[in-house]
Amino acid sequence: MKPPPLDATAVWISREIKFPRQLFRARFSPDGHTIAAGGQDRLVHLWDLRGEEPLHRSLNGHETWLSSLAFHPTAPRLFTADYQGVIHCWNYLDENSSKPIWTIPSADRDNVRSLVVTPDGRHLISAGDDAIIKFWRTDNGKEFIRLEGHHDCIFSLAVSPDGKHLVSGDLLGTIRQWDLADGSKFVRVLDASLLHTRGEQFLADVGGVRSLAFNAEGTLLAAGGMKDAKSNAFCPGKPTVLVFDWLNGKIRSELRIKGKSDGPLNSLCFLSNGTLAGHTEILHANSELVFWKIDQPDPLHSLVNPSAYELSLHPDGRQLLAACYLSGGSSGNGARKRDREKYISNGSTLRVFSLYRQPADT
Amino acid sequence: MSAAIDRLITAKAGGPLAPVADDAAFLRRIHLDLVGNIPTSVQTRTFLRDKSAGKRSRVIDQLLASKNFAEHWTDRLSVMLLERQQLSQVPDDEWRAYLKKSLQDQPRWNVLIGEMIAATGKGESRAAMRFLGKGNHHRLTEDISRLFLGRDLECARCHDHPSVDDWTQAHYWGLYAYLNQTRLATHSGEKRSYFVENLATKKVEFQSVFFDDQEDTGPRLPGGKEIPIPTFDEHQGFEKPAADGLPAVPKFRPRERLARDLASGRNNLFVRNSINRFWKLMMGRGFWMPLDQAHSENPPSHPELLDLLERQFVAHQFDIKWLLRQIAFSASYQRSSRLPPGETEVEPESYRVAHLKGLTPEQLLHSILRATGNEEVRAQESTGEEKFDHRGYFTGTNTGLPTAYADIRTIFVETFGQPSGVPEDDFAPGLNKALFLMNDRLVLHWLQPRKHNLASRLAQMKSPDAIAKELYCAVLSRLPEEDEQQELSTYLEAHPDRRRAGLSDLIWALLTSTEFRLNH
Amino acid sequence: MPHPGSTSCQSPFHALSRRRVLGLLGGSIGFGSLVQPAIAREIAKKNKQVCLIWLDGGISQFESWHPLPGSQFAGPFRSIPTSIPGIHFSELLPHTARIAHKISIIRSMCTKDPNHSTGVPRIQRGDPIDRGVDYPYLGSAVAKLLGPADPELPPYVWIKPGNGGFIAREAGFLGAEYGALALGDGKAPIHIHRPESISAQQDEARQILRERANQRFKSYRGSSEIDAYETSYRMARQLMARKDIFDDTRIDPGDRERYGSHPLGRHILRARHLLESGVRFVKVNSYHWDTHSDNFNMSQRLIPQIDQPFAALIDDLDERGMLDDVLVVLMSEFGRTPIINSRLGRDHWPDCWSLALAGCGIRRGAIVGNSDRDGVFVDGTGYDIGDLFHTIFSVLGIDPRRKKYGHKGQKLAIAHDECGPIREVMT
Repeated sequence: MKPPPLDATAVWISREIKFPRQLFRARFSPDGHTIAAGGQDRLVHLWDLRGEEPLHRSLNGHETWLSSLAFHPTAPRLFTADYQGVIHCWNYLDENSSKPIWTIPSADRDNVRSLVVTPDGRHLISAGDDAIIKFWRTDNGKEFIRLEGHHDCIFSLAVSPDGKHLVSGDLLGTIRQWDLADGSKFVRVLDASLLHTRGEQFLADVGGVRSLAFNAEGTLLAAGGMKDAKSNAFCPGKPTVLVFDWLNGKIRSELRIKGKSDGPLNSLCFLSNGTLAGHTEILHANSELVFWKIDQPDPLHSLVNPSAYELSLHPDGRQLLAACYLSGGSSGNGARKRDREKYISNGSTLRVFSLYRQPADT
Repeated sequence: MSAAIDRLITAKAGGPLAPVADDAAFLRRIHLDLVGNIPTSVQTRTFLRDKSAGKRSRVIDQLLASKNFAEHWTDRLSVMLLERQQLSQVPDDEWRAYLKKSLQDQPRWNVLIGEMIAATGKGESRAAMRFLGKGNHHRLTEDISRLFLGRDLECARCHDHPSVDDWTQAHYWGLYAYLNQTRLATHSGEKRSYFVENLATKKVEFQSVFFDDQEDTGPRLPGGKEIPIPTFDEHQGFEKPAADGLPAVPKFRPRERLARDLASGRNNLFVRNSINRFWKLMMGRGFWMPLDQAHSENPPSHPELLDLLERQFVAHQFDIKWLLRQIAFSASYQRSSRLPPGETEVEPESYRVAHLKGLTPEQLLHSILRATGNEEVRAQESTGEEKFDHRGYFTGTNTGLPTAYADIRTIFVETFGQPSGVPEDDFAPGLNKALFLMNDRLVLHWLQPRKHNLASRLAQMKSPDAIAKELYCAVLSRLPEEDEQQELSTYLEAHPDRRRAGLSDLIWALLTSTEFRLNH
Repeated sequence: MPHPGSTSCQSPFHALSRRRVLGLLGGSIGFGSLVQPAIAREIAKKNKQVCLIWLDGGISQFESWHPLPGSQFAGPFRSIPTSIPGIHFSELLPHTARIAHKISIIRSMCTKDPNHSTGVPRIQRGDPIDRGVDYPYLGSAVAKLLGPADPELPPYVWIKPGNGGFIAREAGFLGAEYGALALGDGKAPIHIHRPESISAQQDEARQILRERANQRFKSYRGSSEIDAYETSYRMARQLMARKDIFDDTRIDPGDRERYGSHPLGRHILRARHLLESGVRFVKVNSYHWDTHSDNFNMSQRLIPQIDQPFAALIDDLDERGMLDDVLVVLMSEFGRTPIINSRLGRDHWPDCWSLALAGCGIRRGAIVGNSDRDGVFVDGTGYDIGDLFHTIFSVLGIDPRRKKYGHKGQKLAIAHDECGPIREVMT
């Protein structure tokens, strides 16, 4: 039977894994059989999706929150990074191994905010608080090259589909393009400063290029974040995507959302049909999973969903994974009842969204 | 009525009374109280020369009938009701025009307050809706209770008042139930907002933070009967269908009921609170203080007088001018602020001596402009070009001088007034206010001789006596005493090389004196 | 101007009594009614000063004083050792960790109000038993209870971002004269400067005329309003004479570097200058600490902005021998929730939070109180804000059990009747 066609407007939740602690990152493995996720509890969580029920195990190695994950495209390697600059490389398929294959103890001064692996699988690229992009050999974790030029912390990295270009986006709304083929030379700056706000009375810069994504053809680059932040405390802003024409580096369209959100777009994914997916976040309410046709500022479709911090596209191109917020019931100001047992952490729900019409028999 | 006031005040005086104030002090006081400004030098001299009987009564009636009465009481009532909040539903000039119109002829307090509470934004009295602000139900409940019933019920939102037994949580929520259906809606064609009421279908529920019992109430005034919320068959509850973006008009409109029941002669909390507030404005002290603490443990100082005024105010249909006139005619109002001989301190609630009242920011500005002969400033309009940067004026980034009256007024209100949302206070001297009058460029500018202002007039006079007379009449609204004349001529003699500056010093010293700063 | 705590010929006794006598000769009622018989204890009290640093909105205890590494609700930052053996702070406080032995931390604050609008006034008033009056904020309270340390200077100066001016509202029932002189962005209000058109001589001459006019007016009245009015002018003139203490050009560039160029750095350095000049109570306000969203990115950027100047202030006061007389309080209206919300923020948490104290009878290097394992609730009995007020008044030499405010014939407790000083934090 022919599978139903890709259709983001028919999106439905096809799988859900609830977890009692907050997970900020979640990714499908290249074969789609494994989900790796990480967050507040310092463990690397793996779910094997092949059985009826997902099979869970975890890897212990980080001493603080996980901040970023990346799979190797071909080898059984998972790279995980944390808020204190540590990167571990794991053989995630070897159930007998619970230790990292190698470790980089200080890949960044502080938070490693983004990891990507080059399409050829040779290099892991990391970036974060120290504003320096670093290339590491995936086989041994040795530093290979470092790229300097950003003036404040880097939130996001992306490699073009042809593997020739790297882009990096920072807090100040600067996107820098680097030529991977030619000694990783700096090529140009793309201006996403709309995604950065520093109001007169602010104590800090707010916003930043929180997510970057190329379309499949490599002709468009989407940068996600928020604009017009109103304070550095609640940090409320308007979720915004800037779509750049890769050829000339100019902003081609600015995308917005219709639903409720007061936070940045922390993750973007292009689908094979050119539709862009993104997820927003909001304080103490439901936010949404959003889809755009990139030349329409308003969304093509959206689905009400709790706040989520990362989207990952399944290798079949027809499913999205999101690490979503799940309230533990005690959120908000002050303790409702001073009962220690009832003060429960918030959790997560890993949701798989299928991007086609839901078959009648499910 | 004035005689009754005096009889009842005297009966409780408990000590010697100060004599009646002299003509100059009376004239200054009545001008400030009724029209918000000191008398002109000419008015003062004319009044002092006038030896005819009944001249005080004539002045009172002239001032009550004057255009400036409405102007000044627009200031006073606006500050009392809005507490200097910038409420944007209605532009300031429309709101002022509305109050001014209401204050002409025979202003009726209950009608005015009723209009403000019932305001929808429709028709002639659209401006009355400014009082309701954004229609925040809790804020309205608290303001209406405080301003019109003399009860600061804020604490009673969550529990019965902790220290005032008379005030209960049910009082709070009873008032709230009159208001909780009110909201703003925008007319789709006119793009203007109106206050509308939703259909009330059930009572308001509330619970004390101390107890678990759930209680409920319909609209109810403190001490009054609860109004049952009518039930209607489906779709029968409306008088008019929804149109133009405005919702259907329900038959039962509790806020409209509140306007009628609250601002009424049958509601003695309202009547007594109203009298107390006007009495305070004229006499410098209310029958009970603070104004928003009307309860049995804080009884009025003169209960009989208050009862009498209550009956008479209602009988005179809440005529504000009538009430002010009765007070102004009384010897109690016209008493001197000087202590009776031999006394060093009197109990403030005895009214044995006239209370000293601070000038409001508006009174102060207008009086300074009149005293210094710069009254044309009041006619100066904004040029409409760049907005004057008030903040920068205080911090030093704006070194320009404001010319528009509205900007100058803002500077005075910011310096001498209370912050937005805080009730008008009694006289409160402060470091910043002193620094302002000492060093403000604008104030000093007004003391430079220009056109026909006071500095220029004095500069043209030769004799120190004439200078002293004009200076004291213009600034302090009285003739100088002998020692004051002497001081002035000594001062001018001591500074022969800078006569003009010396004259400015003399004006400044009187402007910044306590005598000028107070309504005494 | 020498600081009252310095030694040698410009000793506090000298400076103080000289100014005091000058004040008396002028018939001064000073700032508030301060002139009481000068006994030794009183003189000692006169040296006490306070610097309250207020991080409005609520600094996260997890990202500062009480990191609880490895616990369920700990944030992602490292814990670092401090100069107190065995005690760790968040890595966001490297400077303060170095001087931890000079300060005290209370980790068991447990207060009642989870809202800003009510919590800020409630905390800064010490949350006394409700007696139907508006209690003064701490600065106004100290201004009333101790008066100015230097009669020529206002007792309460408030350094804040944005606008300045004279702000009376914090004085509550004490009345406007106990309000704060607010320095917008640390700068004196423009009206402190006499325009060039008025010479010093002319100013003196016109002031004498004004004073005489007031004396004439008062002679028949004897009203306190008249005295208060005259006082306001005296305050104004005294302050003008000392306006150099607000002068930015006198700031040492090295100090500027050490305190930092961000608002808290500049404002806390200004506070040090004012304390050295003899201002009794200085409040430094910073806003926007209410990190409901993005708490970790914001804490990473905000907390270093208090760390650097706070440690510099403690070091400087210590070096100048002032720390024994100057009480420094660093706090917010509450802490932040252990639980992390949907926008990676922490909400308001009055149930268990931390604050820092130093100087003036506060123990050095004391870590007082603890939370349960996860930092949710206090382990044992927590301290309410009333306890902190008892502590503050006690170390300033004011007995909160005996000293009362007089208000409309009533005696009102200066701090919550059922609270008491936190002995563990006191020397």
